[in-house]
Amino acid sequence: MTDITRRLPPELLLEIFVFAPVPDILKLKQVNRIFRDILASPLIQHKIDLFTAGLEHNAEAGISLADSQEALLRYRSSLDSLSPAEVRAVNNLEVEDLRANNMKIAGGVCAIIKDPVRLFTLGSASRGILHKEWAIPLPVADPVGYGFYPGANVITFVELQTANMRIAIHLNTLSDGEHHPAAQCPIIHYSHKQTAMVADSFSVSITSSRLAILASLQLGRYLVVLDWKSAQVLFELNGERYNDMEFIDDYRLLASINSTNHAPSSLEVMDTGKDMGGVPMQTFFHLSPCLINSGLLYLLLERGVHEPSPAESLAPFHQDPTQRVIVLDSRSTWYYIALPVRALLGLLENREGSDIAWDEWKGHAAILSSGQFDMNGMGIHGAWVSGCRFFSAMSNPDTLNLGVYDFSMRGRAKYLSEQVNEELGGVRYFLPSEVRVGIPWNVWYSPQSGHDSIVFPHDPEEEDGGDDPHVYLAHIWTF
Amino acid sequence: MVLLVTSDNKNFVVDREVADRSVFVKNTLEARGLSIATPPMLNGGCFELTSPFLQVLEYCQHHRGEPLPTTDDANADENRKRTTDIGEWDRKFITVDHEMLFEIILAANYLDIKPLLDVGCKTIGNMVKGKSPEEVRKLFDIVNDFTPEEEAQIKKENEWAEDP
Repeated sequence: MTDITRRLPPELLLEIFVFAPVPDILKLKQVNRIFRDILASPLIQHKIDLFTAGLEHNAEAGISLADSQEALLRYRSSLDSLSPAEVRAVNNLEVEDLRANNMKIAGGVCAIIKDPVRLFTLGSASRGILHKEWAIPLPVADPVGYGFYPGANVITFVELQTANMRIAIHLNTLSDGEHHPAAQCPIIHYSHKQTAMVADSFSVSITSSRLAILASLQLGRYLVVLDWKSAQVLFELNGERYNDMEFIDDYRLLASINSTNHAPSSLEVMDTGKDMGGVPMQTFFHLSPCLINSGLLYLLLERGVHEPSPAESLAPFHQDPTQRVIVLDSRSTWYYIALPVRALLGLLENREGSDIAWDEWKGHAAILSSGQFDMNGMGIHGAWVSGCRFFSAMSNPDTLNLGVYDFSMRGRAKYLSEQVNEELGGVRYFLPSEVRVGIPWNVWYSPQSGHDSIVFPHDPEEEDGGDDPHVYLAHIWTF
Repeated sequence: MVLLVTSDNKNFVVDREVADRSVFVKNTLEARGLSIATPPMLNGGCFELTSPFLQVLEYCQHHRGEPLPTTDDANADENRKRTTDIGEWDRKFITVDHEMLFEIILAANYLDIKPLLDVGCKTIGNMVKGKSPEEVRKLFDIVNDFTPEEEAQIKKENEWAEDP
């Protein structure tokens, strides 16, 4: 009776859906034949192409359609012109490359920063496999921090200059290394109020519109959120509130903030204090990355069982916009909490300082999920999420097990795995030899289903690969 | 005043200013040089039923006198549509069942009331936001007419960008 495809003519349906975001359009194409045919329109396809190339925000940034189209053509031809040698150049990435906060997947594009001057982009699975090593000319030789957002085709480098107390933010496009055209103010000279701005560590996260910088200063933590297109400071939290605290002795804090839909002013970054249920802490010196992403504030707390190496401390997890958190480190016990920002603020009300015990965290009514996560002995060396998929690479002494969890079926994950014996090289198709279906959910929290679950349903039976350095070869799978 | 007649032969006398919200009615009246008239084209058959028409009239009355969007201002049109925001009054107004929503969209399209059409389109756009194909089917009683092979194929082609 109310079947929309019978009630409304195709041209009206097109009118309705032409302004939907591309991910929605791609889902709508799967609804039925009528939708598929309507959404095959060139108008829609062009929109999808722009999205694939990371140019979909150009219109909002005031870039003309003609310029966008030209950029799109440049992007395509740059990908088409890859030589086999260039394709091979990307193949030897070390596991540390994947560990550090230098890989992101967005908009169907995966990018890896090998080091601040070399960037790899690994392209969309839907359009074949494209990847390339880009040499990005840096405005500074050794940026303090960098972040990037492949979906928006932007990389940013942040330079901290203590002499004149400014943060210079350099935005470059991924495709040609030039300043991003959408950045009206490619270098933001941002003066910090504090006089002594000496950062122990620095992390930068960027999405299509927001840029967050989280720094560990001598005086405490400092967070600033900017709208990078307009260079406006949206939110700032300096360390004054925490002056009396010794940050480096705390649990590590990983904060993820919403970047698009909610006012950044609803964000609070806080420290958990030393007393986490009476567990004695070891010292961590490195601040973990801040991640901008959707919806919730995530706190990921690590119980210190050892002092992490700098590489480890850089990026123990990735988080994707579907609010899954993946831990990469295989030797630690992690605690995690996910709760709405408002609830967190409620928890902090009328509280001197911010020492909230673990039990109190867990007992909070508004908490969405919490738990303990033991990674011991699993030998994971690469894991990340994109969309409904979770990829992992796990080692045995002789083989590398590549696994993909597919969460697109709610509550019933599919697991495909492939044992790789020979050395991996080049782009290859994922050829699963094992397929398991109907696996209970294994993400921590799914806002749609409200399930709390475990990330890895693996039995930790597999022996760890030992102390030999794992070399992980860069791959993109398509299947 | 203008007399409008719906396809089920109900007569509505409305202010010219209200009727002019519909570009179709406005053009029809202007083309015929009439100030007070029964637009004959609206009389019988081709027009809407009473109940959605009442809704449309309510919308036109509320928004009477506001400037009509001009067709040559393409950029303004783009910007207006790009946002998914719907005004407070419009949002309440459009909170109706699906059947009525479709009727209103059809009527707005036929009568060429662009702002109303936008409100309807955005409402549906917001409904499907973030939903899976199956959820969209359920929402609008759509039958999945793909063969399993086709479905697998189309899924494969389109699930790559599921990150919002």
